[in-house]
Amino acid sequence: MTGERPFALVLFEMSFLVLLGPLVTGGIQKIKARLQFRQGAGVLQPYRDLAKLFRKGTVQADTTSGLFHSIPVFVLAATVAAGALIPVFRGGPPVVPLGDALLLLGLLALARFLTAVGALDAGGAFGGMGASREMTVAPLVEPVLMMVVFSTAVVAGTTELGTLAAHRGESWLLAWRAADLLGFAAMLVLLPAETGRIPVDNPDTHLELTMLHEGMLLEHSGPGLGCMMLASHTRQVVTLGLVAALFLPAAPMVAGSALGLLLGGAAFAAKILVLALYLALVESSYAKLRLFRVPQYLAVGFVCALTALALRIL
Amino acid sequence: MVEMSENLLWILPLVPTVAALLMLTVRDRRVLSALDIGGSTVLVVLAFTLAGAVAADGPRALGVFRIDELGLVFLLLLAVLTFAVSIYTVGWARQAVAVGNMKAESLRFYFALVHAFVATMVVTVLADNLGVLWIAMEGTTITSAVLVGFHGHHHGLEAAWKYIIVTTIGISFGLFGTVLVYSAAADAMGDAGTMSWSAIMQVAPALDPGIVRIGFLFVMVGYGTKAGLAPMHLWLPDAHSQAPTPVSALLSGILIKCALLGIMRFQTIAAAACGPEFATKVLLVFGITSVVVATPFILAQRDVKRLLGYHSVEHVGIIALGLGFGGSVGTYGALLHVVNHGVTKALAFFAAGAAISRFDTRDMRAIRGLLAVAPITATLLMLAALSLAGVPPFSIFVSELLVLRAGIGGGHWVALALFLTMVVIIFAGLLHHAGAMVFGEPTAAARREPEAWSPLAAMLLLAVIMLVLGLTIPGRVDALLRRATEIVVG
Amino acid sequence: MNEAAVHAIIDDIGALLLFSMILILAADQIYRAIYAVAAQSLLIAVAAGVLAMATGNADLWVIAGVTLVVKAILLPWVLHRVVQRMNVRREVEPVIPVVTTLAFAVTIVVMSFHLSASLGSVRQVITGNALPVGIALTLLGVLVMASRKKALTQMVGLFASENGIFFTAMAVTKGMPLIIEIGVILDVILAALVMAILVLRVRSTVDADIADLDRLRG
Repeated sequence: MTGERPFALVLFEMSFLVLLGPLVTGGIQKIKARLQFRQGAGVLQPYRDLAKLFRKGTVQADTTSGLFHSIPVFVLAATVAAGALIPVFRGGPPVVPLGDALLLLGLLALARFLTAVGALDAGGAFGGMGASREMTVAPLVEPVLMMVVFSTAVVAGTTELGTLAAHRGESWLLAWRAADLLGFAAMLVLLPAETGRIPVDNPDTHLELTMLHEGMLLEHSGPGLGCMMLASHTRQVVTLGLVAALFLPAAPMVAGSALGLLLGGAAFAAKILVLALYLALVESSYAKLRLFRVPQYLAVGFVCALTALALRIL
Repeated sequence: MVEMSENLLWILPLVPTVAALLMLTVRDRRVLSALDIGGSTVLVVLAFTLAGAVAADGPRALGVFRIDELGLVFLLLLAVLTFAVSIYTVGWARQAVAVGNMKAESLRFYFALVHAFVATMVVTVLADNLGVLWIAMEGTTITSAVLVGFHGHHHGLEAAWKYIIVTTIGISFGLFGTVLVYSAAADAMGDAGTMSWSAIMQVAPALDPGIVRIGFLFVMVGYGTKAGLAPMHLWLPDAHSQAPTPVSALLSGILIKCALLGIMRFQTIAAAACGPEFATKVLLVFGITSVVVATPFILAQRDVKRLLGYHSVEHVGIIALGLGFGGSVGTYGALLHVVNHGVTKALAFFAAGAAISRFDTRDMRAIRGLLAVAPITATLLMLAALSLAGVPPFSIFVSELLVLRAGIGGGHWVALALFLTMVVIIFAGLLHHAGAMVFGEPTAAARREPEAWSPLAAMLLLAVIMLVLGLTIPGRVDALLRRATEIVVG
Repeated sequence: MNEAAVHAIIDDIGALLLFSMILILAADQIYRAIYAVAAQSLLIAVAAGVLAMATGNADLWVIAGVTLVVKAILLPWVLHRVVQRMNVRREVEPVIPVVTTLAFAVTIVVMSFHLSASLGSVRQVITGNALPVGIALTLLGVLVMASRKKALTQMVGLFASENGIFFTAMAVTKGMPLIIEIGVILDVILAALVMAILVLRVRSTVDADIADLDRLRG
């Protein structure tokens, strides 16, 4: 569906994403548990965890500076702002120009940077290690994301996500060009890296040698930790939404605002579900890579993205 | 008469194939050798008959096979060398079984494989269809790889592995180039695209030059690997030195030349499609690289067969140089060199093989005083070394001189200077090595039994040819070479 | 199925072939490389089938079938059995680090596109993306052979290279004559068998990988 999205819709989409985030995480955990022949926690468990965290008090290390206090808020703000750029219910640019895919990647990078700074601020060993590892992974992930965005943007002539999603349109497999296949493959390789899942990082562990993202969160507590967790849920759903916008088809166009919204929402939910299923399957099938093997793994995504770009430009 | 000679085109590959199949059923060494000589005699007779028919009535074609004067040069060389090898093998096989290098039960596989190898080479020479040419080339790789590793010890297996891997990679490039040229032809001819060389030559000027250029480059790298051109030559010294001696003679004498024939077929297409300068320039570069790269290795060699292998790289480079200098003189010289080098190198391998088995070592420093224990072999070895070094009145001198003339005529001074320098260096090196092996006091390890007749007979045959071609080029041979040159130069 | 749709499908299969090639290059276990090359051969068979449907050329159906049986099933199975019999460590041992290999791969892909862009524009319309993908696949197969120590991965590289040549032949010329293609496949089978025999023979006597032998020097 094309046409511009009104501002109210954009705000609604943003809040919808934030609220949806923990559900997606819960869903992935549930699928993983079922694949391992366990019951697992309920799908709504992340909400309960967040609620619990927001009720608790904060414990802060003596060695942190004043900035540490506000880091969780900034991180959450950056991630939520990134969420505003994702088209959810339908394609088409927002009425007020908000920013394009590059701004989205920049906001996610900012969130990552702030998390790392916060981890270093506390001066603990875990934070330092987590931050340095995260920064090893980041330079390999972010350029690839940009190349994938560029390879889709070259055809549409713009990097604005809403327009890109509308361009992707309703046709699917036959409209996918060769470069799209490679770009999608690159994104699939990157998804575990960007969302902090196996084989790049283990989200369920708190062992010092295996943490990347979790290591950086260790010093936060109470509402601060709640903000950081919500930010990571949102980041995950934003990344999945990015993939969906770039590669998966939009909902069929239907007149009437309520029905259109409903269909769009259902389509989005379906796309997110497919990608979440992919993540859960990958997490259940592979072991976490040792850190020095991660660049090798990400290089595959790099080559795919570069080839996709080459196929488009050359 | 016309139908008879066309039938020869399919009979020729059939003869060694049938011989190979027959040999699988025989166990006695003498019967095997008899079949061997019989099969190669038939091959020689048929090849010369075909030559006569072509000289009288021009090229002949039948299905995917076609024979013209260019192919005849290689076919006759192949037939003669096969004949000489089969004579040599009589004594060689006896000795190999006696010493223990070869198991008596595996002899029949050896003989059968050699004839299958010869059959694939015949198909290569006779092929008109570029795809059949490729398939036969790969067939020669497969059969000869098994032969290279036949003795079964580690060095042989290592050489066989390197050989099959490197040449198969190379020949994949060749297939790719063939596909490209075919696509250009299919473009020009509409839906009736064909891989027949003669048909493509007729529409050659209309082919897309860009595609033919890329295709020729791939073919050059591909078939060049099989021919032993540098820098794709790394497999050659290993394979040619580790193979059994008769097989080495065939490999160095004719197989690498068959690959050159493949290059020449594509060269004619490329010359017609994009002008002669491109193909000759590429050949020139590869030729001079091979000549320059091989020389230091020849000087530093200890293993006599390995030295002969590097020497083959050098001379394939000279043939490529001849083609690269171009023109009638250069091409004539290159074709003459194909024959001369084939005959002389086979002779050299035979003599070296005899010396190696007598002294039980390949190391040249350990072979001394051959003249005292095996005078005829030693003389022939010395003659072969002199010829390989380019000394008159032997045949290689003549063809090298022609290539030089072509270079002067074309004004390629840098290439000429490098060529001459390398030739002089090799002259010195070869004479030094050969002289050290032939003269002096024989070492204690030398066997003093009398020389076997069959290797001598084979060597004498080749030496006679070498001498004759050095002193004069018989009229019919000259006419053949001239017409072959015309085919390449256009 | 019209010309443009066939063209598009062949382009897409080309992209998938490149992806499988990347998987072969990045494979860190022999089994993964073998499965990747089997998938690649499967894609070639599919491409042949598509072209057969589009052009109505019966030869292409035969080629599709033979490729499927021989290169997608039979040869990988042979490789699999050899690996099991050899009882080796399953890691692929690269001569240069995998990341460097992938960097070379990218250069090769870019070069192939550049090379085929230098052809006339008319030619480019006909061949589309198929020609550069074919060149890239062939060269990348050679890269695999050159940058791996284990003999079996070198053979995998050989098969991948042949796949590239087949793809070019099919996409650019709508298939070579049937006899030729059958002959080429036969040759590949025989070469693979000889190589497998060599590998096993050396393994049984020396307990080393044949590609590791390097006593012949100079």
